Amino acid sequence: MTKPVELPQGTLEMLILKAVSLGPLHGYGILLRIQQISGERLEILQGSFYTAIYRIEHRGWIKGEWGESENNRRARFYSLTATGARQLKAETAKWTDMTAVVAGILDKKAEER
Amino acid sequence: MSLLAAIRKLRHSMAPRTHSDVEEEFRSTLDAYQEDLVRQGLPVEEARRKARIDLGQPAAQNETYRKAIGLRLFDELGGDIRYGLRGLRRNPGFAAVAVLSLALGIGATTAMFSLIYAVLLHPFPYADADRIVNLFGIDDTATDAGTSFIWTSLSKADLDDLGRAAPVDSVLGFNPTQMEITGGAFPEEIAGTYLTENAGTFFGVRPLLGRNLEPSDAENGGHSVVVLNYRLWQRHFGGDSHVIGQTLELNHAPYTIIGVMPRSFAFNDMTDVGDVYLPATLMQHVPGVTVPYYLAWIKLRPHVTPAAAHAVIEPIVKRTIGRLPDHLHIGLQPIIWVFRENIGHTLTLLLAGVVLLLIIGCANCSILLLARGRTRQHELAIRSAIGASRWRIVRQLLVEAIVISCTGAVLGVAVSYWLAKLPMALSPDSFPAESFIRLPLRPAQPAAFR
Repeated sequence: MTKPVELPQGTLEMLILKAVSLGPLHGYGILLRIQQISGERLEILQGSFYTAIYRIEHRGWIKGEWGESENNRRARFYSLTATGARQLKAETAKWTDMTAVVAGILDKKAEER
Repeated sequence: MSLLAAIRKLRHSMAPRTHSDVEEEFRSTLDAYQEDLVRQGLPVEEARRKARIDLGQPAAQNETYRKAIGLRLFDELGGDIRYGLRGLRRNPGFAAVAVLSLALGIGATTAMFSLIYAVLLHPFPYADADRIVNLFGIDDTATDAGTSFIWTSLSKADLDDLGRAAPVDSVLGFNPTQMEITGGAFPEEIAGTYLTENAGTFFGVRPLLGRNLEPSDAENGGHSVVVLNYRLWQRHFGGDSHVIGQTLELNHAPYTIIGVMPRSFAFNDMTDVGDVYLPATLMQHVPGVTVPYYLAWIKLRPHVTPAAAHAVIEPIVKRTIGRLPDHLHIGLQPIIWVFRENIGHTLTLLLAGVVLLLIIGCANCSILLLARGRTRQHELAIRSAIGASRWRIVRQLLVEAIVISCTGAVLGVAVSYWLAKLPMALSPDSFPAESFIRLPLRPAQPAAFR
């Protein structure tokens, strides 16, 4: 089994946006999808998970609607809004930039030691 | 209603989801997770327990939700206020004494301030009333303040001279006189006031109906027109709104009614409040009047000091009325001066009195709160023992104090609504007829709507 990864502050919201961008999901579905894509390596704190969902829903990045789940249970499905899509794009670009820069610096050190 | 809509929108954006909505969603997640756990082989009861440990209790979820969208502070404050009110209800004696002592102080102070505002700070409806001065001859030998002022009569030419002087913005000439309303069964004696035809712009008061006098009313020896005072309009015409254009017979001559002044307009207190206002040019035709004379109100230009105005105006007046006896000199006085002199000191004294009352009320209230604080030490100790921070407890006490003072303030303002009318009812003649005493909720209103 691979080592679990801890999430830096604020990235959970980005992951939720990404998960929802692939198609509407209910809360538990989002959790499962993130864990599945990450290969079970992300241990998400359950308390912070819903807090993040509530916050980005309140900001209007995702929008919730009641529907029927795969096993005929009433569930609230979240989908990405236009603002959310823009936000996801911006955050992704920012994240890629940041990791590239940080990784670049770290790599350099290793070479020049 | 756009404000209401905005509030509704804000409310919607602040709390878009209901308690049960949040809880239902959370339960569905909890159930799905629990089923997964059962599928993985856990006994139902165990799965149920683990799901709640991992995800939390449904009942607490709404709190998480409101905290996430930034409503926690409101919720806590709301709780503090409710708790404060409950505390007051539990302790009605304390609440009544604290609230009443504050209400009394606040009510009396507000009423007194309303009075001072209406009488001393803002008594006249005229535009730039603070720049209008009376032109008096002052008798230095008179012992009584009431007889030391002598109205200085001027001719039309004198008025024009004054109007051209540098510190003067404009001059209003007026002449109060007695006349009769004729044409009815009995003649009715009223006070008429002739006004120079610049009256409309000089006063800058919008008539309630029709128009005020205009310079064109002086053409062709003066138009036979008349502007009614509010009181006469009410008394004689019963407040008829179709009065404009009707004819009023004064001293057996017909006049056309062109306007009605608002209630706050009662020019003027010092001589006689006119029931009707007529163009001054008509004075030429009054039998027995050879040279019409005027009393003057002078509106100074902004930022002109009384001393500077006096230095320019006195020579003009002396030139026209000739040498004054040695004991007489010319004085300019703000029109408010008479009232300030007569009742200003009384009002200041009363204000000091009621401010003292307010201070006593405050002291009273704080002592009560202190005493109550001692008896509540037990409660506070328990709260801090179970985890309330110092700030949280201080906030709780502050909110309670605010609940008390707000209740006191609301009561006090309500009481002052009646208190403010009391001095006027007790001593109606001490106040300018124009000042309509009320709570100064809006600092400036168009004169026509008072």
